[in-house]
Amino acid sequence: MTLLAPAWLAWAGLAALAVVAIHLVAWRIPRTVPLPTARFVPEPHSRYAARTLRLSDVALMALRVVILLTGGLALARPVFPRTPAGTAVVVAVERSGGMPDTALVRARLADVAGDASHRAFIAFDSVAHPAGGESETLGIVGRPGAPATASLSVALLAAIREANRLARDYASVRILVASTFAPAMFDAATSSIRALWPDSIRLLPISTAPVATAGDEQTVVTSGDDPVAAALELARFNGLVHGRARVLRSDPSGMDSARADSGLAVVFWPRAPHGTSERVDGVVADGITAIGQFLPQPIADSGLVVARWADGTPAAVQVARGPGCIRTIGFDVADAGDFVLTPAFQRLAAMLVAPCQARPQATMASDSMLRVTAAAPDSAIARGVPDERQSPNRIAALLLVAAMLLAGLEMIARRRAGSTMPAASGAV
Amino acid sequence: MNTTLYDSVRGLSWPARRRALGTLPGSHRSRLRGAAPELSEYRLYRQGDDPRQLDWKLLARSDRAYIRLAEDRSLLATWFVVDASASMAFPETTRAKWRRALEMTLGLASVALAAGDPVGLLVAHPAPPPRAPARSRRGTLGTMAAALAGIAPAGSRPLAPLLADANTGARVVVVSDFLGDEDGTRHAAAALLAAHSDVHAVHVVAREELDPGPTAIRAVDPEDPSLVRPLDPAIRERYRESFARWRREQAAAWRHAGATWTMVTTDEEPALAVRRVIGASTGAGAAGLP
Repeated sequence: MTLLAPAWLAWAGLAALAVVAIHLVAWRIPRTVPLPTARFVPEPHSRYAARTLRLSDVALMALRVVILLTGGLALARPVFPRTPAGTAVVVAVERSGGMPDTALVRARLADVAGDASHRAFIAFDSVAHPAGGESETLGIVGRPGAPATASLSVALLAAIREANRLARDYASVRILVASTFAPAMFDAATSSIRALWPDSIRLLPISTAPVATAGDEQTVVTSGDDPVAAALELARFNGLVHGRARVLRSDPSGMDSARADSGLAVVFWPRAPHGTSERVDGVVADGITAIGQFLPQPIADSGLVVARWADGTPAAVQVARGPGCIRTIGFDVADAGDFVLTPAFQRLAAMLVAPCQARPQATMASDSMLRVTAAAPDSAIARGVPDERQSPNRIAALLLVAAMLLAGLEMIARRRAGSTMPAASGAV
Repeated sequence: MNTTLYDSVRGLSWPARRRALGTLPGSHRSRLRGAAPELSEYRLYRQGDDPRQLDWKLLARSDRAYIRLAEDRSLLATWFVVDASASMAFPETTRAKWRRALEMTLGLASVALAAGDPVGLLVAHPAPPPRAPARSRRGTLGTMAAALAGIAPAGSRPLAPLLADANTGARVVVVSDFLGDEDGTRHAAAALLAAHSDVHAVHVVAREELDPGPTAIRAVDPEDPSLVRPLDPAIRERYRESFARWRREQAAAWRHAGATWTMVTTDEEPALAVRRVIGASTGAGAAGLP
């Protein structure tokens, strides 16, 4: 037990000691002293001395001491701090219309939040819906009629509040936000609200594009270890790739042209010749930017430019073939390194292998915005754990009520003791 | 007993309040008139007068018969009746009352002995010293001091029987707190006074009895342990008034009976107290207001 204002208990103790002292003064039997002139002492006063020896006064004194100590303890505001243990995760799930099927969300959450001993779910759109369990929350997410927009500030505010509450009981609390992270979800208050949580926040981007169906598949024609194939596989796993496409890492054949004519997107993404020097550059495609080490390759200057280097030169072009198209990529990536595993390259790759007529638009905030949101703030504002001094103290309230009840009991006992006092109880 | 007291009272004269009945020549006026060398007056000869007292020279000159009258002086036995009851051993730690009683007894005895008066001692105590006749010989004061020093106040033996034992016509000094049988003692003293004795009451009071102090106590009577009464500051004033009233009543009663009453306190200078007792007998000093 911890006392928030221990001085009150000290004062109450002193007051109790004073009460005991007063009672002792009243109870103390005077010292017996021989006095030859004792017969001249008025006799009636002996009754008063006898009355002070009543046993009921002991109970009255104990009652008064208990009242003082109880009141002092109440004013001292005792709290019983709990020892935090275990881990907890607060999951904020967007329920706007842009969210895909909850099965994907459920699968992603199982991967990132499965090890927590406690999981709290919050569904949010323009307002937060604190929910109980995972099923209930995801049920809300998957329910039709969800609003079209959502606010990340709302989600962060609700999640941080819940995380602060859980921080009293758990040693580690994480915040996880599963959302489409559309640019419209960010507002002027997002960064300020984000700074209220001193730790990092795990962001789980959910693609707004329709999930690839069984008929939508990408065929990557390659040989050996191919970093592009790995990036596409990872992007497909993350739900970034949709539609049918055929990715060729070698020269296309006549069949490929026929496939393009039939409406398939044929992506010619040639391997860089051995000895091609790497270059650190950036590639921009429909608002998606990937910066890393590329292996530039010559590209034809005819066709629709679908990706550009940072200096504006074409990085990928597309030539229409009937309902389909042939897309040529003018860069490769090195076999070594993890550049292809970055989300930016995955989105860039998903953009480059998208179907010809439905190239996805940039429906997700930039990497920099997501990175800033996810990272711990440099100057974190103190965690908004509620101050116990300002919060209502249930124990103190109970003690105060008990002290008041005992005070009433003391009044009754005092009156009863006074009414039963004998008029003359004899000499000492 | 310190000798300072004896030195302080040396030279004091303690005359008898009444003419002494003694026949041995002393310092007190005697009821007898006779052949003392100091002429008092002439008186015409009446039948029955001793012819040896006729002033023959005056008869020859005036042809009238006158007899010479002279003031006779005689000794006066002084008996000290000392209260050695338990109430005199107060306060417990200092026994100041008993010490003051001893000082008064020995101081007055030294004055009496200095005048040649025989002195006797009677002690009210369960084991009193043996009664001896009043003596004036050398060493009497030391004997009295030794006898009193060996006494520890105890019990509650009354004083009245001792007063009855005192010789009539003597001077009786009662040194007590008169908290025992004060009525019986006063009646016995009145009988002595009627028998031409001279009675002096020396009331010994402790300062703690006059002012018990602010501390609350349970006062127990040392001569009557069943009498226990709480005394606290709230009733101290009533106690003091009651005690003062009793002292006034006692002083008035003793004086009305013909005795002197002198109250001495334990914080008083002993020589001064002795002088006040002697002054009370001569009417020259204050007897001490109770």
